[in-house]
Amino acid sequence: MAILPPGVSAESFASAVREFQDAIGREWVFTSDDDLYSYRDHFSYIKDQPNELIPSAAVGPDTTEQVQAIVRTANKYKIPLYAISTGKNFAYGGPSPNVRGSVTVDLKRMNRILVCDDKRHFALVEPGVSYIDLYRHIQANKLNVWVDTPDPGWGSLIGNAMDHGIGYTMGYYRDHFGAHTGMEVVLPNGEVMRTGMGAMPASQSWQEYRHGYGPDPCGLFGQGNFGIVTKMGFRLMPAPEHWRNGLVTVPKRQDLIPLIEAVNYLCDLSMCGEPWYGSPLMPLMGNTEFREAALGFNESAMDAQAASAGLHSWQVELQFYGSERTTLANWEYAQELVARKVPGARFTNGESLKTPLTREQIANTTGPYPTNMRRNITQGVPGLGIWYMTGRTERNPNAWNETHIGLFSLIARSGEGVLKAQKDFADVARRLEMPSLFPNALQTPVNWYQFAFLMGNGFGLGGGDTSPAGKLKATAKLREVLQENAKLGYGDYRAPPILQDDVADQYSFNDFVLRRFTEQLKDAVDPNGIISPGRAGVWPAPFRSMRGGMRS
Amino acid sequence: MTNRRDLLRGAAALPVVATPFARALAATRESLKLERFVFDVRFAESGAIGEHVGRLGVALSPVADDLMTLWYDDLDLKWRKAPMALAGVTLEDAFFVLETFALDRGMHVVYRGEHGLVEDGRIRHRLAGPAALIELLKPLPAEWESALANALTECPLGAQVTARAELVSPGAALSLRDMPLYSWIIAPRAAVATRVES
Repeated sequence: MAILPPGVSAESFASAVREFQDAIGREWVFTSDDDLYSYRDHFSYIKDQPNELIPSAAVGPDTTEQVQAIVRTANKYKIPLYAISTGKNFAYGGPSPNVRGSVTVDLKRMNRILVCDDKRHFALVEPGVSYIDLYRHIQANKLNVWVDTPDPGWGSLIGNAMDHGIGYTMGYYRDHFGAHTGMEVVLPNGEVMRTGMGAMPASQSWQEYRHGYGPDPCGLFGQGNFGIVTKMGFRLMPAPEHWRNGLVTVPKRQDLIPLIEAVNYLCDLSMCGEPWYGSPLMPLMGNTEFREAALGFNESAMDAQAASAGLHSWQVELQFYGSERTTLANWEYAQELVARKVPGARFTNGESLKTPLTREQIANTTGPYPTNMRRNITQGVPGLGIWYMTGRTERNPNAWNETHIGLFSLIARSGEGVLKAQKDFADVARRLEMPSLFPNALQTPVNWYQFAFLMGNGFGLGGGDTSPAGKLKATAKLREVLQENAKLGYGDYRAPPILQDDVADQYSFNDFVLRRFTEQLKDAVDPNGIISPGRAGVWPAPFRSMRGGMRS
Repeated sequence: MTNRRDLLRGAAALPVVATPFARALAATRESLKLERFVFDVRFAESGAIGEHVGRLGVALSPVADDLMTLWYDDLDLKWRKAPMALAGVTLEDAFFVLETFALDRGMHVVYRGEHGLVEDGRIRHRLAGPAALIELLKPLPAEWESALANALTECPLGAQVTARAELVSPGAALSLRDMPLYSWIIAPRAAVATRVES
């Protein structure tokens, strides 16, 4: 199926393709259906529909200079580009562009690890470098650093950071965009810019002081469309000598408030890694009486039934990185702190292991207590096992999804905030008649970002109706959820292209001044609007009429 | 990312094999040489198919719920040098992961089969792939695992006419429960030009 970029004639497109071929080599310009198959979103809600977000062509440059040439040609013919790193952003649109008919700039060939310094603790990489690649490089060269990997590890460091992706080790490193140390960008006019100390030609510290001097534009490139990032630095965690974990449980629902206070304190002093919250009461959801209490948020009834079952209401798994002695001291201090704040709190020692863990230790799922932690990611070891979520598998027998969207809302980082969000999300689901996949009263946040809580919006969509009409109906429902969440003050942090306008609409303070400001900048630096128009709801003037187009 | 057009040009140099099974069915047909068979060790059916395929001389890669070891220690290193043909019987997630990696390296899915229980305890097989391969499976006997194992090693080369079939076999083993297994063949685009979509 031949698709053209919007507003571009077949003749112009053919000329542009020839120029792309001249710039990067004929074999790296892809236009056939077979070639373009891999640039579709495997989980698209609009797969095979006339508005499916698929490209007209893809180009695979190998150098920054080739990216520049592609951008110049795109400007000449006013062709929208959509840059991907490894294209593995599944659950958030995969490699699919915001505008049907864009030319995908596939940066996989730019896969060089330019620097990986285990004394100064940073790496400088190109977009095609995946977490697995960097991990392999670290292992092969016996470097004394870890890579903070997301789930799964096949994605690109740059791509993940660009979409504000996250990891699972110590706080600073988990925020992948926040842990960047400067970047090289091909601007919409084809010029190359370096940020921070990279703006100084003779700098010895590009990866160490990312602010440079004056305004720092880096934030414009995260979930943005102001250029194509061709190099980026990342701070790497020095490999710790020891890892230890432990379990804390607290008896009553309201105990979540002091528990989170204590854990926030520990996290913000950088005394522990990512805390994993949960509820030991999940098994009681099979009990009719408890389930009724939980669905009605009847706290006293839930507390009473938890007590009679001998179960605590909440748990958090803590993990500590350092030496054997420092991890022990931090764990002991964590126990002391929580015990001071929460009467009746219980503590269970986890494991205490010298790092790096062996493969057997990483694969070991037994321990002093049942754990939800996926140990590989706590150890900076990439994996692929998370894909059990997308298929009907042994661990996931009832939730087969041929579509898959991640929606996580920012909530207040406090116990009060969690308890309120639970009720708010349940109300929204009830009002919109969307069966929640989670028992809301037991839902806990994820602390992927050190200083923020995200909580999932897990809905069973469309009553299992996976027909095109059923998927459209489900998508419309999701849009309603986003609107309702926004009214309550919950904004999402990330979305696939079909929902990016809707998420952007949540951020409406002062008549959308943030978006107006960003689009003013966009129009100034990208007058033809060729770089990823529509990404994160930022539409350049030539494409602005397409805003909200995915809703129809 | 592999240079796809170089692969297409190199098609004639790829290895082929004609096994005794193939010769019995089609004396002149050349088949894709499988360099690996990936099977999920948690299910009796995939284990049985793996055993059959192993007896046909194909190297086996047992997997469970995380393909990282297979990818990191084996396929990534080999696929950096050259694409290769492989087949398997796995759950859907493993199939998705391998197809996605394969698409990055000049390979694609040329056959896929979904094998799931139907209500009366029989197994429904939804198959799509080269017509000649699908024909090998008709009619599907009660011992479908060995028939499938043979067919998977008989994928014809070149551009193929794609066929689809929905077959039912009796006597389901219980290990499938409500989780379909997927059989698949991934091949270099140069070796089998016809892709099958999920």
